[in-house]
Amino acid sequence: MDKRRDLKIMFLGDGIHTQSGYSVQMDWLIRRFLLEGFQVAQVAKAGVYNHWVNFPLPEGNLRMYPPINDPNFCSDSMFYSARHWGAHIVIPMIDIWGIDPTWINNTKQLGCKFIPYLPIDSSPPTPGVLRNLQFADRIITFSKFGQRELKRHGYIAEMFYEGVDINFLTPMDKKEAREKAQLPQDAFIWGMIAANKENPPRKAFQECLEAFKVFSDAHPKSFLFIGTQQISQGSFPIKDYADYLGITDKLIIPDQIYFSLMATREDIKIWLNCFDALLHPSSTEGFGLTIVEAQSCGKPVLANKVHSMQELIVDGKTGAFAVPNRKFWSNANSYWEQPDPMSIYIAMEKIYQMLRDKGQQVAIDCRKNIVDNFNVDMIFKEKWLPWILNLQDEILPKGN
Amino acid sequence: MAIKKKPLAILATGIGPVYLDYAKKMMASLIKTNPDIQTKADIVLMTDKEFHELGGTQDHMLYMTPWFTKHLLKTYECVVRIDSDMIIIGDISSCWEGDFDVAVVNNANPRELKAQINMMGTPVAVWTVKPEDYVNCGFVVIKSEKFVDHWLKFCTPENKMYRMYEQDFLNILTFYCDYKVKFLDFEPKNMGQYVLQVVPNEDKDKFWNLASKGYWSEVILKDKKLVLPKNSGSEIDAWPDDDKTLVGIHFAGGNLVGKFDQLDTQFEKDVAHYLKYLISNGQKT
Repeated sequence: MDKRRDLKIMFLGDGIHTQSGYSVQMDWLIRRFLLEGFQVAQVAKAGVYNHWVNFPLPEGNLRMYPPINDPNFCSDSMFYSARHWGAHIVIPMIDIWGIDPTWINNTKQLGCKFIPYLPIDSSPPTPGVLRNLQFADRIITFSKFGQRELKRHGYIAEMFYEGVDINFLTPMDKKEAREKAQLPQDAFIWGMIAANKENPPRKAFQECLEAFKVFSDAHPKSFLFIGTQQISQGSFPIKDYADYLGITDKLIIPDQIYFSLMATREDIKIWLNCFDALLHPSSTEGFGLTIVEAQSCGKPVLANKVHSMQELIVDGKTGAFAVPNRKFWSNANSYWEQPDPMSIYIAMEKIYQMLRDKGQQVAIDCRKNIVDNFNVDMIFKEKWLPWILNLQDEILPKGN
Repeated sequence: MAIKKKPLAILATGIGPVYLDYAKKMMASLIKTNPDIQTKADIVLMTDKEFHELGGTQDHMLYMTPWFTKHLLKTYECVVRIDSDMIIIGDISSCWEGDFDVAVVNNANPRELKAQINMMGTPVAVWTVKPEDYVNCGFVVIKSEKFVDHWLKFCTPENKMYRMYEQDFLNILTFYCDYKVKFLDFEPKNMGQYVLQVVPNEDKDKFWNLASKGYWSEVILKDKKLVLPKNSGSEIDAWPDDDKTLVGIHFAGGNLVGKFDQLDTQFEKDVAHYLKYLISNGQKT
């Protein structure tokens, strides 16, 4: 393997320590590039303020830059940071519709390549995403669904799945996990770990609560755990709707301050291991990281049969699908596809039966699906590293 | 005594370093895909030097096609004008066949029309020429001096309010002035109030210019030919009705640098690789 490491790689996205789904992916990717000997920087959309910092990691020093005047997308910071640090390529791992094209072009004029690693989470893709992709020197997307949609709309992309650290997210003893999390031992627990940023909610909280009500009527010793880190004004009123449905006593919602400010990856691992199954029938997903994280812990997943989610579970073996009953045109100018509550319920029963009849095999199959297909070390070694070395040879030919 | 004219000139322009580089790439692709072209035609590259020698001014930049063509038609029977920001992919020899004044290519397809609206608010059109009929100035074949003289008469300072200037005038002449016109991509579906003589095009399975733009990700490479399969795109903008072999692709979109730099995100790997070979100086792929 070529050991030349001349390429200076700058990522743009959630700071690696901020505990969002994107930050986790940034974290594992950046650490592995550092370990390979590359110089790496990050424009941190969240988590760094006022001045750049050399953030020491066991794998090497990560140069981190703060946002400047565009805290949501770091358009200007992308340019100034690339110029200050001398980046050869910048890889934004965000929804790129918000990046100001003027700053993309300014960055490219430095000679820095613009290579988005982006989710495509709707059909058709959001027009703003397609608009900004015309400036991309390469495109990488998270799923085959995204790759297909891009091709249908004029763009060729590489496809590198997101993944999980299978050595960290491992199956634990459920009893021990529930003791640590102080959750009931003798109950069937559905888990949701999902952002609550809008209404109608992208993560289908309303439909999940309605389906869970029917499920809990049939299985009284069941609970629904809902952990939400991101909450915005205008989000879905989960507790109020549970009150309205009369299932408040069936809901487990971790302390919001703890979940938002103090929860760590270790907490996520424990919670996932507490669940019997994950409930994740989003109306739109660019990937659906929690879906693979849960399976890595041996837990089956209920997902919506749309977008990338179809690629992440094996129906009947590692989970089951709900199906959408309607599309609505979102303010992102694309369709979201709402899961039908009754189809969620039917899939809940399917997973319940799977676990009752062959629980151990389900756990083995879930784990195997992730080890075989979504192992970050494998994805890095087989996809990212050869790709970046080819790119290095193209941008910085040997001997120059 | 009248001087016998030479049969054919291919007109390329490379004004300024960026467009000179584009022109060299376009000509490399032309020669690779039409290996005997130089036995049939003179390839005439107009650079800053020729532009100034001919008395070119800032205003002439706005209508280089008729201006250079007027000059060339003194020596040649037919001029094929090819924009520098194009890649020639196939045999172009059928474009000058037939008895016509001008042969033209289309400016749009369903997806390009949408892109034009997004960029400019309205699709590109002039007078009552429908946007889907409007022709592009990037690939024009001209045999008639009368046509060129007529074209130049429009190119006045008073007419600068026309958004696309020389291209708008090309459309006015094409659709309203009773010239013999050959449509290389496809003819207007409805002639309505247009006044022209359509010269039949026997070579209808080809796209020459912008008719494929926006659908390039679905182009396939087959026996050194690029083919846009029928019904490419999505359900709302599926295009075209039949498989089309691409003779040329045109980046267009105004005066931008790096127009040839995005091949990797626009075309499948094998197609991008082939296109890079076509525009390179090298002979092997």
